[in-house]
Amino acid sequence: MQQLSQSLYSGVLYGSVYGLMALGLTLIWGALRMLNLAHGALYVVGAYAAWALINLAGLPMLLSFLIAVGVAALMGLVLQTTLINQVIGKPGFDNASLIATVAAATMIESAMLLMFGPQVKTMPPVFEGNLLIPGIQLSIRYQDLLVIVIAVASLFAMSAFLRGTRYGMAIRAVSQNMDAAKLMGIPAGQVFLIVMVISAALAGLAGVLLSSIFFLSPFSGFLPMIKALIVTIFGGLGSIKGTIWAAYLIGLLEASLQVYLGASIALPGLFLFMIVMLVIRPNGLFGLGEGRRL
Amino acid sequence: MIQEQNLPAAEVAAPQGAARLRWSAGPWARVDWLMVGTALLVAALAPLVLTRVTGGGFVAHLMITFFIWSIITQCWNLIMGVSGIYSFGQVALYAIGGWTTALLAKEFGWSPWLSLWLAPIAATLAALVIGLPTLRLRGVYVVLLTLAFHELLRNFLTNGPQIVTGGGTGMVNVPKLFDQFLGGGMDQAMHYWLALALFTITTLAVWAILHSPIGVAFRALRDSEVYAVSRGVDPFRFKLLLFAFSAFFTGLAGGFMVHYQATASQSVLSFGFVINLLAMIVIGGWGSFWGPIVGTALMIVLSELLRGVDDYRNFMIGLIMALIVIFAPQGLVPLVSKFVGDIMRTLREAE
Amino acid sequence: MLTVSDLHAGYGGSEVLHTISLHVHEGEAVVVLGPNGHGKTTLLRAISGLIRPTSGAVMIGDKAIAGLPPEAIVAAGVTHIPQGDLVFPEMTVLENLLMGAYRALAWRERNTRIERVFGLFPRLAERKAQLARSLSGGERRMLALGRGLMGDAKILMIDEPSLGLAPLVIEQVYETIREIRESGMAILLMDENANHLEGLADRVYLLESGVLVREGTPAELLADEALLAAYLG
Repeated sequence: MQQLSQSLYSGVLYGSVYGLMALGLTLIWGALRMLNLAHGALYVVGAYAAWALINLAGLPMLLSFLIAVGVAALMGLVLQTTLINQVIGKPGFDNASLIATVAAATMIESAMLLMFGPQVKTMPPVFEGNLLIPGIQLSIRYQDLLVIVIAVASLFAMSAFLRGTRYGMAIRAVSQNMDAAKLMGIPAGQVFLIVMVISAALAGLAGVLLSSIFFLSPFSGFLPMIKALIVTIFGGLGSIKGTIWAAYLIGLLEASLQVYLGASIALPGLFLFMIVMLVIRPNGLFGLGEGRRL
Repeated sequence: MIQEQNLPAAEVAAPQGAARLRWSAGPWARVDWLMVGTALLVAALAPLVLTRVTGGGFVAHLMITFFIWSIITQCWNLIMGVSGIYSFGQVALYAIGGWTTALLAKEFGWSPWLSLWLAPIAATLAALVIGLPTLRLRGVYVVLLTLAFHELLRNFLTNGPQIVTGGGTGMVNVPKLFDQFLGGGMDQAMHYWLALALFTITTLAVWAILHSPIGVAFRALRDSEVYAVSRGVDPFRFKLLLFAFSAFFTGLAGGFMVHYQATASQSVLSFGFVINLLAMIVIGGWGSFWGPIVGTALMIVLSELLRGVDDYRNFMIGLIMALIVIFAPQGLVPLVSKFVGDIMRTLREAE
Repeated sequence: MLTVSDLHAGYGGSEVLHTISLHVHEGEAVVVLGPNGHGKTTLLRAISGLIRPTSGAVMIGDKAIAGLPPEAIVAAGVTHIPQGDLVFPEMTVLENLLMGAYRALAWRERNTRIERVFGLFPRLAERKAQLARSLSGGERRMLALGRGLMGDAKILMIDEPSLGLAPLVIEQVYETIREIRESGMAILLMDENANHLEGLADRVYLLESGVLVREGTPAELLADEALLAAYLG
């Protein structure tokens, strides 16, 4: 029973954060048809920005989180304007965007290494202490709870934005049919920029949240990015609904593997699962894969 | 682009009555054998000079590194740059080759000369295992699956059984191929010649593939898969074949390196190394023949110049890659050769 | 109101349209006839900004729009309804229509405009919460037309409205276009056959191999026997 509740709880925690990251990736894929391999680097930018604001500038925790997300969003803006916009629309975009994002990731992570050193860092939690749930013998850190609340709230907010606002619908329109969207007067170039900024902010938020309960190092964004990629593909590239569902499923899977089989099995198990999934259902969970959009 | 050899009709209706291809019709006819031969001769004589010069040993070491790394980059370029398969598993295959032969030689007492041959075989098998599920899928999935494979291997080699991980630092004291050979003075030279031989064989093989009908098919696949398929090119089998071919030589290179350095270290799977190799291909010339070779040489030289500022070096590499992708996406070799071609043309017209 | 002067356009290195000059007056309905692949779609794309003309001028009123990005051209009042199935498949009928009113001015009036479109297309009103990809071909065409009416169009450019539709549905589509025209909207229509010129077109152009070869009223063109044979499918 304890194991089950532990898996469920961790699963929800992981799932919420992976959902943030995966949503960012899926938005970019939908709108720009690009795989953003700099996503992990943006995660790290958010995490280090928060760390620096808390430890070096002495700002309050939640304010630092907010500003850090802004920093990550800004980095996304820079990435889009300096790099991606130079290769959009030209032939060989698939190659070029892949290399460009890898190059950007290398630069960003090296910069973090230079600025902050290779040592692993931790962030002090906003709320100390645990919540004990007697019936199922579960001990939840308040910090974890905070992370879950922020992540879930953000996911809801993003969903609402994409479904209910004019600009959110425009983003979905661009990713479903760019030509038609342009003909409605939707400015595609601007949409690309906004999508990148939002995606970077989501990655940065994920970085801030996850680092506040685990740790951060210049390369600690790589694994979350891989997992987010798994989620994105599992949920169907470009589908919001699929991505969010997949995030929780993958989160629960990883948590269960960790709890029942041990941490070292978790990662290989996850990859194995993904390989199997890709072979039998390459279009993702709802079959909402490549052919479907936001 | 290659020029197709069109046989003049007279050759086909051969005088002896049987239809035979003339020797000069093969792709080998287009190689300037004089140049190649001269270059090989110079390269082969080099260690004889270098071993007698102070610091020469270091240069020889750099050249060996160049030979081996350019095997990896050529093979990686063959599948990524030429055929458009976005695999990030190249270094993992290199590592599999190395670890296989290290394990057999060190733990099971095989002679390195025997175990070396298992390196390419293991790498090829691994490539087939990865390739079967992966290569049927679209580009994005290939990236993910090969990244996952790389990560899995790294995990295994760091956290797996003791004999493999060496407690986290890798395998040390792996038997060498030339140990005190002919009194020890010639050890490095022997390694050099072997590396040169491997490099030459690989380069010729890659060149042959690029200029053969298979090479044309691969370029067709990269440029327009739909059209290629309609012309009867089966993408999956071709990709698998190419993937295996590329893995074979990469594994061999990995095996050599492990016996040369007498260690198998997990650092080979670090992302720094992967990015380094990628940069060599991007900077040299993505999809071209000379690109990876030139790129590897450039990067090795650059790395030596920037030695001591390791962390800045990675930043610089990323920056250069980004600049190349924006301003010279074809890479330096095509850019320079076009530049030179333009100059030659202007000079010719001025006469 | 729409004036195209000496327009050249194409793709990559090859030019598809040569020296195109045409005009559409306010309230006029102009049809461009031509066989498939001769440049009708390219012409509309060059006007609406999806591709850049290589040379020539396009004016809406006195505003020059050639070479501007599509969103600016839409802002100037040119609405291009492309051929085929260019609705947003994963969005509902209502959302599709709302996207037609993306621009700020139209957005404020979106509710009244939606009512008007539903008035013209009652079938769409019934299906307003349905995803666009589940609509039939004809309904999708109606949706595209309705979506085009949501904006601030001064001229509606429609590409091959009958493509891929069943004959009965084609009739409905043309009937709707006639109604739109009667409400005073200027229309530029690209079509492959001349079956529906009556009561719709004020003037007709003929586009062959990227060049406008004839211009006239429907009566003049219909009197030409050779033309009849070629274009009445």
